[in-house]
Formats: sequence, C-alpha cells, structure tokens
Amino acid sequence: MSKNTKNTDELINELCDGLEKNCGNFCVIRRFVPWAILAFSYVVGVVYFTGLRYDYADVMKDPIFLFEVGLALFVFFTAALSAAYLTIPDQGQKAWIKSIPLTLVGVFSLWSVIKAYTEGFIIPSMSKAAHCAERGFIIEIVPIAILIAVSTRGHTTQPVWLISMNVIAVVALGWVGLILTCSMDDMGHNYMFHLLPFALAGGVLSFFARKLFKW
Amino acid sequence: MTNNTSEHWTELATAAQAGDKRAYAELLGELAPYIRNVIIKSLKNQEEAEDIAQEVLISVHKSLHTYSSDRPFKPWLMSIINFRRTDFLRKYYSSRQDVTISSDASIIEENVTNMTTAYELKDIETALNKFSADQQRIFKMIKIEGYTAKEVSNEMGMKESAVKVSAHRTMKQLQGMLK
Repeated sequence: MSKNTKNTDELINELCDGLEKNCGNFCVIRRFVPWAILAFSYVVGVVYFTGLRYDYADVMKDPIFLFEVGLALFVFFTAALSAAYLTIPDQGQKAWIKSIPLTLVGVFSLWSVIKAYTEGFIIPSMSKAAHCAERGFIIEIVPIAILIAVSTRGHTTQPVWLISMNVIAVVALGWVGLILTCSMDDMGHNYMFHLLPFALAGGVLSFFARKLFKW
Repeated sequence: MTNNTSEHWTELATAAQAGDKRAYAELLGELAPYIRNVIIKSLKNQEEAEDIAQEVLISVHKSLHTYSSDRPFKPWLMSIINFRRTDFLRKYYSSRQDVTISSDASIIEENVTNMTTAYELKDIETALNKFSADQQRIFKMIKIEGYTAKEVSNEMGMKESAVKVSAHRTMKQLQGMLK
C-alpha cells in the first residue's frame, strides 16, 4: 500500500468521524429569498429617508420610466437568484439560469443605445458627481455586503460568475434607488453617475473572487 | 460509470446526509478510486493526482449538504473534481513563473553570444583531452570544480604533493599548447 493510498484511507476515516447528521434538505430558494428581501428592504428604506424625487408623481405615469425600473428590478431578481444557485457546486443543475440576467442586461444595453441615439448623450457636469456617488455608495454598500456574506457561506465552483451575478444584482437595484431619488434623467448623468462607477467597482471586485469565495 | 453506480452513490449520499457513517465510508471509499482515475487522465503524476483526489474528498465532505437526491450525483461530483483540478493547475503554472533565470546581459553576452569565449572554451577542452585520464581528472577537480588538493588526494589515493605537482604541470602545458 503506497503512502498516499494509506493517507487517503486515514482521510476517509477522519471525514466519517466528522460527519454531521441531518445535513440534507438544502433549498436554494429558501436560502435566497430572505436575503434578497433584506437587501431590497434596505434600499427601500434608504429611498424613503433620502426622499423621493420631487417629480415622482409625474414620472410614475411615464411608461418608459416604468419599463426601465421594471427591467432593472427584474435584472436584480434574476441575477440574485443566479448567484444563489452559483453557491452550490453543480448550480443545482440550473446553469442556464445565468443566461436570464445576462439577456436582460443585453436588452437594457440595447435600450440605452437607442435612447442615446434618440435623446442624445451629453457628458454631464462633474458638480453632481459627488452627490450621486455618495448616495449610490450608501444605497449599494449594504446589499453587496449582504450578498457577498451569504455567498461566502456557499461552496461555489465558479467564483468569478458568482461575484459577477452579485455585482449585476446590486448595481441594478442601486440604479433603481438612484433614479427614484435623483431627478436628473438625461442619459449622460443617468449612466455615468448612476451606473458606471458602481459597475467599474464591481469589476475590480471580481479580481478577488477566488479569494473571497475560497472553501 | 453506469446509471446503477450513480444511483447507488445517490442512495449512499442521502443516507450519509441522514448521519449514516457506514454509508458515508462506503461512498467515500468508492469515490476515491473513481476521482483518482478521472484526474490521472489529465495529470500523469500519481502523487499529484492523489493529492488532488484527497482535496476533492475534503470538498465533497464540506459541501455534502448542498447535494439533493432529486439531482444526479455524478454532475455534482464532477463539478467539484473539475474545480479542484483547475485550481491545482492554476497554482502549479503560477509557481513555475517564480523560477528565475538570470537576465544579466553581461553573463549572456560573455558565455553565450561571445564567439571568442566559446571558441576558447572549446580549445581548452580539446587540449585537455590530450592528457592522461588522471591528469584530466586532477586538473578538472582542482581548477574547475574547486576541490582542494587534500580532497583530491583523498579521492584518488595519491599524495597531496603529487596532486599539486600534476595540476601545476598540466596548467603549464596547457598554456604552452594554447598560445
């Protein structure tokens, strides 16, 4: 018997001694829903205390505004659900679920290009950048911390995909929070201050995915 | 691997999740050679394959609670095997980048690209081959490998003074041959 084979037998004995009872009945949905509700509730709370935009009543009658908010919320929900499935090794045999938020992001991007073409894209003044960045940070920091904390307790075999889905979810939710509190709807301001900085920060975070989700 | 084996492992995993240590031991015992065989196909080194197999078993233990019997066992297992194998290969190839090779230009220029030096070394070697085997060995051990005369005399069973005289005479003759 080689040394390695003997070590494997000893390892198996040790693992058997460390077996926990009743470690089954794992349900991704049951784990995902409370945390998604918590993150969503937090953003609702921030929006409430910050105060809705002054023209809230008018924009809520605008179908385009409602379409964008609905699309972003759908991106949040499906990305967070994909992240939940990514916390288990075989993704619950639902690897295809990642394609849903990615498709919706594609739709959102295409919609943005069409809007930029029809409405024009003006580089915004940097005077409002700090205000939106500060509010965006407050809105998104807790949800991303929640999702990452939940994800680190998982056992992912695709850490980069996992952090990507977490970032997409939080950026989408944060974007909704920002456009509900900031009345500047021009394309330049909306995308350069409400979306781009946080997407870039998320991109940087993805470099630490393997360390973050090590198990 | 047949469907029966996969179903058998599903049953064992479900029993293990309920706390059945005997089933768990049987499951891990059957998984170990299977995992090893899968990894050996891409990693020929037996020891490294065994290390990765043990990593996979530990990962199976840590994530056993995430497996559900309504899903097939093999894809769950294979995802862990592929993850650990990729992890190992990533660390292996990044550690190879730590091997440093001197990029001192003067060393390269002197010993690799300097044709004069290259020819000189070749001449010395050719000239040395004309001496007896003992003379060559004494000269190389003292002048090239850095042994002391005492160490060489112990090695060759000669007097230390005889070793020193031999090395000196060989050096003188070489200098005359290479002028």
